[in-house]
Amino acid sequence: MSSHTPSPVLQSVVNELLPDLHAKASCEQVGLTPQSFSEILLEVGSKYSASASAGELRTFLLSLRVDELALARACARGNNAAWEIFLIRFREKLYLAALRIDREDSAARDLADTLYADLYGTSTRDGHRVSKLASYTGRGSLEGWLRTVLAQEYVNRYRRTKRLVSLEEESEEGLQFAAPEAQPSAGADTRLEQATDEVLAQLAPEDRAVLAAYYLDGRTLAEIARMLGVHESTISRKLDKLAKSLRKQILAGLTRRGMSRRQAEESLEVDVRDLKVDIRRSLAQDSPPGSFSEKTVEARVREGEG
Amino acid sequence: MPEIPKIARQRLQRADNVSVPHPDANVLTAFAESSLLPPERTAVLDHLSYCAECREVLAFALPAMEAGQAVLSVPRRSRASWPTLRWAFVSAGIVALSVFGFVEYGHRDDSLRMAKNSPPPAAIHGDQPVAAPAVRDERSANEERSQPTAAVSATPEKDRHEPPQETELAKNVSAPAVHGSLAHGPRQTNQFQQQNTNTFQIPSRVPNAPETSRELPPPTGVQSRAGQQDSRSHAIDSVVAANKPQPLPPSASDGEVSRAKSAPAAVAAQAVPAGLETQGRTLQGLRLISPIWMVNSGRLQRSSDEGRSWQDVNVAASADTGASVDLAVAFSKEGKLRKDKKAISTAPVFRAVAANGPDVWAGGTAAALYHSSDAGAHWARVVPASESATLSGDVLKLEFPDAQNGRISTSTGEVWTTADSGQSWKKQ
Repeated sequence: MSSHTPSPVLQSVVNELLPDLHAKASCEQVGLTPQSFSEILLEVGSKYSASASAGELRTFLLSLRVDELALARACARGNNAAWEIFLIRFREKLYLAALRIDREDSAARDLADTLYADLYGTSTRDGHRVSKLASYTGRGSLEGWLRTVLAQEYVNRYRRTKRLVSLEEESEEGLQFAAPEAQPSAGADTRLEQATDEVLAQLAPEDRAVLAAYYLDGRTLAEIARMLGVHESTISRKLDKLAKSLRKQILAGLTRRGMSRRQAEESLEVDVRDLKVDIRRSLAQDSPPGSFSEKTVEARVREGEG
Repeated sequence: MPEIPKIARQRLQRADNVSVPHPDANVLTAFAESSLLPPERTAVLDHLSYCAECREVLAFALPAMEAGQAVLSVPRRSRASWPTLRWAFVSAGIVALSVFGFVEYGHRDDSLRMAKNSPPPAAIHGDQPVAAPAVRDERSANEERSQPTAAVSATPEKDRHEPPQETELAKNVSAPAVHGSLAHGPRQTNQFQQQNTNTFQIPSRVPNAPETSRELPPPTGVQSRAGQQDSRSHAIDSVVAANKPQPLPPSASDGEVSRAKSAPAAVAAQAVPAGLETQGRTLQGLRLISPIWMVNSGRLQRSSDEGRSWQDVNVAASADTGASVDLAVAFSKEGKLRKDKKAISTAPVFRAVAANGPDVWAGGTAAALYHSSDAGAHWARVVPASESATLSGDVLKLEFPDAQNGRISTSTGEVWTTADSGQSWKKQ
């Protein structure tokens, strides 16, 4: 429960919508009284925004998946009927989701089991079990939330493991390549970096996210499209456009910084070749699996030939 | 895909390391489901553009390929790879029967030859489905012998005047081809439906969809017969039945049988639209639309457009009122799960579904078992019971390899079987 006192606006909106939402959420089935459901809605509402208008709050509360919210919170409170429904609906799905993340069966089971432990609430606070389900707010589907939580758990776990591995790899590879990165060269390089940073910072967040997902993470167009909820062709067009404009804008930025056109083009090319090793290393180390994708390698090879 | 300047990639990589708090799972989920308001969405996108970790979480949390997307992508592949195979099955069937015909030629029944050579002018459509099976049992060998000629040279006009046996024969000709190309289709669909997963359901079915549509017209005659009595339970019958919830009127199927026999290549162009018009069904390209079923989040869902969209099917709404009484009784008998009685009697939580043409069985928690014999338009609750016991527990698995025989497995370890379309049940 939130420690804040909910705003009066929120309270009035919740009171207004409570009968409808309580019925819609089938709270009776899972043993949630209107009073306790009202508390949940107030908590979720305060988390959303402290300064939202009544209209915004109404839209927000009506957009919540109240039935799943009620189910999750009833589970968090240890209601057996709720757990029965939850397990029937999600047990299998949770395992399948884990299996999609980690193809190895025992690892997937382990992942799903870890999440179950969190969902049941193994840790205690003030003598009460704390279930992870108490942090579900009904903003997305419960199934989607479970997948996200599962993915977060996996990524955290994977990153922990990976850090150890990369240290070993690093010692095998040697650290000689770290030097150029640590000592940025003066003059043209700085200007090039500045110009590039400026262009990247001016991009729309979505464009930048698409660039990062495609060029750094090595995601496919289809994956990016599904992540952003748009059509694949939109991503394809966007990437085309971005690739064309990036080069042009960096060159323009370099010219503005006092380089001639030719200098600017040269510095773009020269720097690229010098930086190859750095990129390879940093990509391999800091990015998720798949980031060092084939197309990255191909591009690098082409660049080298050119 | 175009390349971006390497320096851009490098700077992107450098910036890709935010230390600000990550959006919580609720917000990421709402983002993935496109239910955030624009300002919030932009904020999350901004974070994502600098946070490899959250991008990765988002990618891992993507749902399994949605049914609609699978449908969109798979047919292209199937069109590219199946046409040759499809006709290979047809010709293989014809060749096999031709060989069989020549081998058996010496034992040919003269009386049947007479019948073939001077066919009675009687129309075959009306009586064919009823008369055919019995005749076919006795005469099938002979018919198959006379088949090669018919398959190659018969014209639609001629077929109309041939005796029923001849038409029946045509179905034999086309049957192996259909069987071959459909062998992994609808059956898998049923299996996957029973496992409550829609992940592979569409892909497993769709690759065969174009073949289904093109080759179905000939076997529809078989299916209309199958629904009535065919206890031989030929594999084709159940396979076709699963794809064709409503039998074609015999007259329509006969016409198509003739055409299929005389000119296989023409079938795709002519027979399917004709058959579909007769049924009054929708048509997309040459693909035949038939309802497919799945269980999603405990709800029974039906798609009549190959999985692009799914509609919840409310079994309770169309089930008899008597059914809920049965349900209540069943619960009290069981003496458990009574607390959920109210909830489940209004909306059962489904665990499994099995479809066999228009025959659909759906089962779920607390011994919920519903049957529809009209592709889901009307439902009746079924309470399997023998002298000593009544079905209990959750229905976990439903297997209906054909319209008559079925098998139910429950969470309490019970296995119930029927051999008469659910009229009587046996506990094993």
